[in-house]
Amino acid sequence: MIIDKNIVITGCGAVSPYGIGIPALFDGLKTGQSAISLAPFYDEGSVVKKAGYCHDFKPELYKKSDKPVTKSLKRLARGTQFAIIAADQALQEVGYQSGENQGDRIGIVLSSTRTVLEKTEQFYEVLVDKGPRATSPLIFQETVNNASASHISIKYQITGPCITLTEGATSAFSGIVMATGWLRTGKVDRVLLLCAEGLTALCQTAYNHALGHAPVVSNKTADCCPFSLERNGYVLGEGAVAIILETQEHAIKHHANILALIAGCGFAHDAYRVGRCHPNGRGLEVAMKKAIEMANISANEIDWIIANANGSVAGDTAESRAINSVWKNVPPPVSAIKSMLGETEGVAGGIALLAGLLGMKYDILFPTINYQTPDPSCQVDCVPNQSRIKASRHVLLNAMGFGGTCGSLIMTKSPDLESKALVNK
Amino acid sequence: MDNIVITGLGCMTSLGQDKDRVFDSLMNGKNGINYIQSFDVSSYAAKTGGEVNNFERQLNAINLTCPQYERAARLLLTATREAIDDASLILNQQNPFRIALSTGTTLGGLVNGENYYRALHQNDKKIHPNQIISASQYAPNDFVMSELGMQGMSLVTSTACSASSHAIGYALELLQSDLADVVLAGGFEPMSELTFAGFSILRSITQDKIRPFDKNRSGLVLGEGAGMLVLERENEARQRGAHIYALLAGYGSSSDAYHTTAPHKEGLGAARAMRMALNEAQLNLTQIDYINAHGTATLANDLAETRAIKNVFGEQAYHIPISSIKSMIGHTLGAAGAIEAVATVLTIHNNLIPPTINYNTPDPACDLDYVPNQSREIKVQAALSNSFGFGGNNAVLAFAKPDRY
Repeated sequence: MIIDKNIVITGCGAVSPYGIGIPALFDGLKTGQSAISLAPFYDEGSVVKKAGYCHDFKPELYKKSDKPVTKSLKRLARGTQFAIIAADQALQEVGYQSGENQGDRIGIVLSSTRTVLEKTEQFYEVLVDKGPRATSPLIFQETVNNASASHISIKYQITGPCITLTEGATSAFSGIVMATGWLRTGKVDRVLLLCAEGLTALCQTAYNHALGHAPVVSNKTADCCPFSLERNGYVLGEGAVAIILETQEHAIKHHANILALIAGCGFAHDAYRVGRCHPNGRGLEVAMKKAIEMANISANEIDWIIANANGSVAGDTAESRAINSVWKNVPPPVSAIKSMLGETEGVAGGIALLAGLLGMKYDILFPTINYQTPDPSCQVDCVPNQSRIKASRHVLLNAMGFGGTCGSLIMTKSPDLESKALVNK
Repeated sequence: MDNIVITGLGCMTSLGQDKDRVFDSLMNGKNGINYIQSFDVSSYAAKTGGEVNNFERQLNAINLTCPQYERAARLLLTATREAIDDASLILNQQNPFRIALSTGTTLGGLVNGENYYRALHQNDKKIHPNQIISASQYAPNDFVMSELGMQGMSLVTSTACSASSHAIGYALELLQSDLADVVLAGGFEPMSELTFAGFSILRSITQDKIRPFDKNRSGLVLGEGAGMLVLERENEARQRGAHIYALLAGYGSSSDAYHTTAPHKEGLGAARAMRMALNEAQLNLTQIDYINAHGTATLANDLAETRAIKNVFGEQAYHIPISSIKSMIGHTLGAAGAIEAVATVLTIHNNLIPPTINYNTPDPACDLDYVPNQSREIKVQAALSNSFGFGGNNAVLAFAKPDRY
């Protein structure tokens, strides 16, 4: 019953600190613009004040005629708002119109780990300060992790299978595994892969409090600098990505633009100590090897790696060691785009997918910005500070979760990538 | 496509801390609901829940590497260990990279997050980093993976009440696409004031008993616990001489696309998910001998679910025993799909159907056979287990006897 079919990407959308849409994301990444700034909700007492925050996010500007949507958006968590706007872009790109009875042939996979914490905190605050009778049922219903998927399914009348994965950084990739299963067994014709996260001050404070255990949060350096000797941690980010997946057969039949192929993926767990990655990145090494094996290519055919690296002292070293274990000679260039956008956890995999798409289309490698002094424990060409012109056919994306999950995914350039649709949105 | 089989089970609920004790209690129609002890219920109108009793005292006997790991992680670890032992699975004889853990939950480790929040607001200096590390959605999984030395995929699904059914459905995909050899699939949910307060303000919690499908039903009662299944491809399970409980024959999933909390009135989404599961299992309507209902005892769910079952099965619906074990253990939210899967698998294995207890007055709008108050001994070749979550997220699992195909 499982038909061996290639899975391809046919549509996408994004909300990032650079703005709404793919063109804004592309401009930001290619010019090496830092999206990390002072976030407005931090006060004098906050230890960590910077984040990859989506300033000037105005959903009402996105679709001026869609008043009922934007009005109701305001009571949703930030991450949920981003998700809806990103989903809209992607669904438009593939020409999906709700009410055309195609809704049961679309599945939704949502990757989101901390989006609803904003609403959970709001609810809990009232519970603690004023007691149970003062709490709000409308807020409580936004605390379920699948809220973004639920709202989108209602808005677009999408009634196919629906799942929300919350295991952090690898969820976008494990989401693709689930989507692949649905597509290959014919349960759906398309899958909307959604990634969404929003930021709160409490979240940032909480991650900072974990400082005593592992120095992963940036509060001293001016900005986040992955792979640099000076690095001392990550900065959190937020945003949303939407990607439409279908089988290659379906895409061709329906004249969809094929933006890229999903060539392979691999996963492993460090099983080391929760909250710490294995110092040699043993889980990531296995994940990369499995992805390469599934893609049925040799490691030398990977043209570019989009790293998980986020400025974590231990994490960036672990990833570098893992990469050097897989590529015994010269690894491909390794870009840490989290240097620009911060650590967006459930969205990071989605952003990496978009970055890979854009890089393959425009023959460009995005930079690792804020790169200062080389660190001998990070022996990689990290495309320091400036984008580089290079054609890529196969791109490998890495993800490492905070508790030891590791995932790698390989994308292959589509012959269709001359489509104008990608950037003119 | 390979047949996927269940070779081990683990379960913790208010009715017992191992699967045999739980199932025996279910078959005897025992009530697991009592006054809540985990937090102060004096400000709430409803005061009961299905807690796992004396759990912490038992846990001190377990050697844990990180004592700050909280209740949820420990529930998950205990059920996982039971399932592994039950399957006679020797972890270090397996390829560690080919063992996956797929769980469903709503809170993850968030009870520690509640404690952290309170500590912050009281300017407590004694915040331990492990409190935050353990508070995430994925920390309990990571804890179990590390504790047991498993190095394959770790997945967490969080779709409210259907979460662990999806987690089990995901296992099907992993095994059939050869991404794993063994999948430990299930779910866990601790009792939490946060969740209790939320369901209270939604007016979903009853002060009465839990009466699924009864005319006088008035809402749900929350429970906690964990359920775990060991899943493998049939050939490999037989090769290692494993005991096989049942087949995981199908998985259906759909969205109501209707409302953020209320189910679709006609249960159309639920019906779609049931059909998808039946279809994948290649089972026709007369081959289902039992349905383990979602049966939360809310006015809305039980009616919608009854309509959904009639939508799918037509006249045949009247010939299928349907029961809700939530009548005995309450609604265990993220763990419900897994705990109810364990019960359904044991139903098939033992040909014993647990009752819907507290059933007194039939509701003309819910006129099917809900196995009222008394368990039943009947040959069960195949069964469905329903889980319908907030936001209209539906998951249905189909199970069958091992010799079915």
